[in-house]
Amino acid sequence: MRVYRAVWLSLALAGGAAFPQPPKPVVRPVWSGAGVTLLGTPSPDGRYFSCVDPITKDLALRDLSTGVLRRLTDNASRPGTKEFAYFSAISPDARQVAYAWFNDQGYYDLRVTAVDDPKPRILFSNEEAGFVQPSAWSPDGKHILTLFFRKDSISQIALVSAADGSVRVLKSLNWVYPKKMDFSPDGRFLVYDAPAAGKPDVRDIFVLAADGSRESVLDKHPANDIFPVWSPDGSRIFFTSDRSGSIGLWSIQVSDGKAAGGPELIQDNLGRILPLGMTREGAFYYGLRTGSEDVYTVAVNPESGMLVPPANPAGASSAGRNTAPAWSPDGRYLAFFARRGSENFGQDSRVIAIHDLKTGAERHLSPKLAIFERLRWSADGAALLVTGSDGRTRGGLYRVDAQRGTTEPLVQDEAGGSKGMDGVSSADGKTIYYVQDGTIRKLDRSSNREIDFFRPERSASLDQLALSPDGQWLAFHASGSEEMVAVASISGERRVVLKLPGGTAAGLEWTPDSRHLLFCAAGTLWRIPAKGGPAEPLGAIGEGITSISMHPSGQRLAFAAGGTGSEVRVIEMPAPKQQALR
Amino acid sequence: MMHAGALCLLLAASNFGTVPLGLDALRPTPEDNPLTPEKAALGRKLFFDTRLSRDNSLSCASCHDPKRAFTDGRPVAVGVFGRKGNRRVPTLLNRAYGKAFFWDGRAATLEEQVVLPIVNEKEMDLTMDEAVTRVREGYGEAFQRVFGRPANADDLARALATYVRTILSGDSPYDRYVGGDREALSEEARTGLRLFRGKANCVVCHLGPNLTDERFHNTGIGGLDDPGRYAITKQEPDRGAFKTPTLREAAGTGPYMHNGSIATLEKVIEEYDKGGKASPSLDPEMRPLKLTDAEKKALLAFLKALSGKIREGN
Repeated sequence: MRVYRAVWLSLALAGGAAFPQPPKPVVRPVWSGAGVTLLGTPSPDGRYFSCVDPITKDLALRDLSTGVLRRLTDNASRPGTKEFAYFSAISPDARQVAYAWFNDQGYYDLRVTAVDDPKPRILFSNEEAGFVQPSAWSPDGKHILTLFFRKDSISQIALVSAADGSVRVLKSLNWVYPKKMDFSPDGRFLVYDAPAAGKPDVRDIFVLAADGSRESVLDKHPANDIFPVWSPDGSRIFFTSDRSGSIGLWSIQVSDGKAAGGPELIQDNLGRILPLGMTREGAFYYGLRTGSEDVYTVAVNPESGMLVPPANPAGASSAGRNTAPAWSPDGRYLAFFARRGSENFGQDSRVIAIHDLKTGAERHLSPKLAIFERLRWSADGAALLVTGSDGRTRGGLYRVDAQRGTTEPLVQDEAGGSKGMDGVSSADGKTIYYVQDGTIRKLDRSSNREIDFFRPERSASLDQLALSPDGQWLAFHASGSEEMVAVASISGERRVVLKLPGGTAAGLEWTPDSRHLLFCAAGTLWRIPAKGGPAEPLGAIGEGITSISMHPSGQRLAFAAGGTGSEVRVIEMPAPKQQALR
Repeated sequence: MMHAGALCLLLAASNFGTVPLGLDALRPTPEDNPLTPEKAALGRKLFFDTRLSRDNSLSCASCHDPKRAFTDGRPVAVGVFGRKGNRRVPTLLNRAYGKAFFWDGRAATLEEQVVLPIVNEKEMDLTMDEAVTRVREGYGEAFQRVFGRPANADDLARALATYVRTILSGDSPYDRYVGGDREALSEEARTGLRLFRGKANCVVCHLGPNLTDERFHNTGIGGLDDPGRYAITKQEPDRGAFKTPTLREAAGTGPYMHNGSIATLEKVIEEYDKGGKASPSLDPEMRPLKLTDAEKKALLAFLKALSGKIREGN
């Protein structure tokens, strides 16, 4: 392993110069605050960044020097539209932007628009392609390197003609997808990351000939190497890796699509970064995930139900990366989702942490799931119920054995959806209530018989299912034309408990006596009678609450709070020049 | 005037390196065995040459018959002197994209795979030395031209593997449908595709351009008399597990399953609908599907839509 700056040193010595200080890469933020999206690329001169207007969801260009946002599509004139822009890439001559567009048919097109006189053109539209992600343009501007994520759970690395939209699929990957792809400046090669052979948990960097004739691994190494970007002069491939123990930016010299030297560390300890691209001059743009989310516990006055600050962080590890707390039925364990490892974006590194309040020990389960959304315990405490999807993009509700971590689907959708099903089980474990397609379904596990348990009169999104401790009522949150908290008895009664005009409720939980519901709104924990009535504040809990769980004793509340944002930064990294050292 | 054979060769050469619709442009090849038209042509001659069997009666093509989608239509393989194997001849279609070879995956590369039938006593029954001697006698000049040296076992494998990498099936109605031609599948076949990906759960193993995950599963076929993948890994969960075959040209590659025990696609669908026979290592994805008769018919229509254009030699 060598340090990139050593190149400067060797050049300086060769030139006989006075001993110069190696230039330190300069890191500076170029876009921060609300509304930052990491879905685009910098323009070749580094002045613009393609992005999504956070208000209208239009494709836009942000002038990174002035902060001015210029929309390239016209959602703004169509209020209420469900269409939106997503990933984008600026062409090498900066005159066009290729972008994914979620269309009115409910799938993604690949579109192109000119920058100076925006006129969106559909380049490729095929429902079967599923998700499309333009990643980079070929240097001659003739092709767009695009990722398809098909309905049958395979991803495909494809070249789409910028002229007529014709497609040439170079390589398919089952269930997994590259997190970053780029073109070599001479247009002969593509570089991408994918799980290493036989090691699904770590990635390698692959170089693929643009004509599909050959492919090789850039550097076989046990570390997690991700997010490759080709340098503008073609001499190097930059990538992030945890090979030093923290996430750093590395590079490898390349020649004819193969490594021509060892890996060199450019900058260590970069945090949760997502490389976005390089400018003509070699400035390296990347996104940085900022903020944190953690699980806390706070005491509750058993008489009044009021919160008794302070709240304290729960969990021994992965500070800043925890969410979705759930108390075990006996109150001894607090389970939550935690991140570990070096994965920055995506859910690959998530585990279920189980914190033992009696011993202080914490152990981790790694269920075979790809996406984790919600977490609850089964009534007998032997298992956890996880809303999420498996490695084959099948969303559902999964049972994870609390000791062994073995995973089995309780209810499961077909491949391609990836969206989990919020759900709970009855105290005897024989009945599952879960949400599918805007309906709460009831599944009798012994007979495998299913019925619609609750279907809203008007289309609404249902979530936050919570079964009362006495097993008689199911509470849930509904958002559609209006936001509300409702309960449905297992015997058939339905009741709206609370309407939230203009507001939203975060978290939904029962008190141990099954008489009240708890939720968070406007930075406060609220209690409301399950039979209806005025909501009562129980104390400030802070902003950014995402979920809550009440201890069975009713004397401690666990909650997840915080939030993550993003910013765009640049590493000024001029290529070593002999002239500069003479 | 150009001879017809020469024209074919010319066309093949001009087409070399391209693939039919629905397949990946990248055909993975080892660094020491790049795809070349000359090597593929040599491999093709070897593939059809009966001198590679003990009694000069069988070539690779005898079992991997191009007219039968590179299978032989029999329940189990039959080698020299009528010797019977215990597994069906797998198709060679799209093996360029394979990650494990033979029903039990005992070969990791195509180069390893292609020579093993030559030395298997139940198949072609030569020693490798005998095979190389015969090849030197018949193809000395060709090997010299392609590899720059006399024939040897490694180059024999390279030539055969290169030819096998040119055996491709694609451009089926399914490929055209996935490629954006909404009329390429009948309504019934489209229903079948939805079932394939959904209720019937086929896609859990049969996915991607080649409609296989290249992994090993015990689908409850044939009991545990054949250990399958277990013989290689010695891992109990692999007992009775066999590699997922491609479904390309499924309508023409019967009988089905690793032991050729099911004669028709209709009966295959029936078998899967039942959820497979109970077994300690039965794949957890196997479960009763509860397909209706109409759904079974639609699934069959879809499977038939996986027949496309087969090409070889380029």
